[in-house]
Amino acid sequence: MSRIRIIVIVAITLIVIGTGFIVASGPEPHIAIPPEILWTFGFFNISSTMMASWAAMLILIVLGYFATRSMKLIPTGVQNFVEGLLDAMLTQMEEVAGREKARHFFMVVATFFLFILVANWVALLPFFKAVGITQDYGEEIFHEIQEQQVKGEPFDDDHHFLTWIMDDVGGVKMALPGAETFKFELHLGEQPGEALDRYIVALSEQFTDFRATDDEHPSEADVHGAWEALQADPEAPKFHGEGAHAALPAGSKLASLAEEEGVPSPALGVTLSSLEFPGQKVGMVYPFFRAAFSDVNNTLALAICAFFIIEFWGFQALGLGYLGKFFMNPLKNPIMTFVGFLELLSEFIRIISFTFRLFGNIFAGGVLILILTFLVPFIAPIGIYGLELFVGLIQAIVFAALTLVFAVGAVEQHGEDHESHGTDDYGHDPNAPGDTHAPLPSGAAQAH
Amino acid sequence: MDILSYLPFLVALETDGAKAIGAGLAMAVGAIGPAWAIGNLVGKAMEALGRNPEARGAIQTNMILGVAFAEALGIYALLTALIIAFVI
Amino acid sequence: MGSWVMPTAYLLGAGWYFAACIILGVVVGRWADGQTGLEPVFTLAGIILGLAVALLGGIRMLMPLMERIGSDSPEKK
Repeated sequence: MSRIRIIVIVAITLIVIGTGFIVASGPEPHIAIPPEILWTFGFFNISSTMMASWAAMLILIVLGYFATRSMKLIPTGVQNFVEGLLDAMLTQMEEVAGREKARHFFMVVATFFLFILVANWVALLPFFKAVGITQDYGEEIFHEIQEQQVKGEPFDDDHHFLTWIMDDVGGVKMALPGAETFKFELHLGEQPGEALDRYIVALSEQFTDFRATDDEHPSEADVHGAWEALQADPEAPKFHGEGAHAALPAGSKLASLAEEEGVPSPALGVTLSSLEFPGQKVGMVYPFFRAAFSDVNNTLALAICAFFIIEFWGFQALGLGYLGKFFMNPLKNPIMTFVGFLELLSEFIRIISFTFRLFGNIFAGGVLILILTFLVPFIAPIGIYGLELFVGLIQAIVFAALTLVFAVGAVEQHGEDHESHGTDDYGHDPNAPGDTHAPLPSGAAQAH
Repeated sequence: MDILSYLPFLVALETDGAKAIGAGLAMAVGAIGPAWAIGNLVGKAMEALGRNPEARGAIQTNMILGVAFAEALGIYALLTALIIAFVI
Repeated sequence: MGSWVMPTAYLLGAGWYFAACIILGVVVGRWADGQTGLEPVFTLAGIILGLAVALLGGIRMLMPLMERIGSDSPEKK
């Protein structure tokens, strides 16, 4: 690369970072622990983390396909890479578990490692958590108020809405630089009419120059003033009363609801049945992809799989004697009864710790990147991305290694003398009849 | 003792101020234990490594495992803080 | 100019290409969605195409760097 190209690339980078500070200031990020549900088919929800899991699975399947397509005895290309990877994993496992046990456990532990690793690393690509469906929240808030009105009861829970003011750019709803945040809450025990009044005032404060004297409990004068301001501005959201719903666009969700009960507004004295946003929209982006293990359901599923597989291996190796580890005869050995009970408990607690270790690391990393991106646009996330790479790798290693260690512990005979404990660090297994691995120098026996 | 001067603190118990205090304390105090544990663990691992550099693989593997256990507790504290701040 | 400049320039260039491809794919996908109105289909297709182009081009750009690293140390991973 010539010197000119280097200088140009560095200059462009610096300019973009500089303008990023000025231009790319955005609204508040939306942090939610439950994954955003994108589409629903009956009872089956597709969430953003499910899409990311599928992406990771797709990558692994494609890699596997290309690695085994035309297998040669002396591997080249993709097959070489995959074989090196698997060999490194097997060597590490043999150090912990011994030769036969490592091969016995290899498939499951290696799958855990590769799946978690790929899912964590693929979450660092640029489009994760950034591109997605724009959920129109303006109408949805009104829809919730309407539903509560149909039920005829006050709200039974707090509901916070954090949304962005988005513009319609060529048919695409997007939040332009400098977009604002619009927050609204539905309070516990509030009547739908009061919520509607507050919503009218909040919308008017956001979209017009009107300022109410009291946001939480707006007076009648406030609501009337807000209403006038909304009607006056052509770009502001418009409420429609009964009989006016024919003016709605045909596909709008609210057009089908407008035949239902409208919501009476106590302060205004009219019943409002629909809402439309001619100018700027109120919405939130539901990302298509989100880090696969930033979802408790996902990590819980893996932890339960690991639990059942470890118990299965225990039963497979020891038969029903596996239960003899936990339930001991209280007459012969009273202390060990208690210890056995604690060990049984710890088998189940492991599920919780597996789940939350992986979830906490990945979710916290994602939240950190998100908040830093919204605070200091282009510079601060750079270091955090490096940390995320490292954390993704370590968490994959830890999950797989812990599964392996617990499996080895489950399969052990009680009081066995650790016969096939492992290799010593010169790569020699003291118990193997003939070592098919040539004695490796100690630096290469551990794969880094 | 002026009782009235405590009123702002009592008011904070009903609003988001309490959430912020709770979340901050959860993470701050919750990170002390794991930090000390991990520091101890890695320190002893360094000592062992210095005494016996050839056992590097075993020491490294076991150290990473131990650090993972200790760090999990710190992550539980972080999760509690996040849940207090964003969900409750 | 020391020896850290060339790898940095390679990485910066490849990084820009990567990001630009994905962003371009997403923007084209979103614009197509805005024109035709099927919400997710074109965006997803744009993401996948952009990602594919980015990966192929990015890896091709990084090959000289990886080979240089590979030939420096005798150990192979």
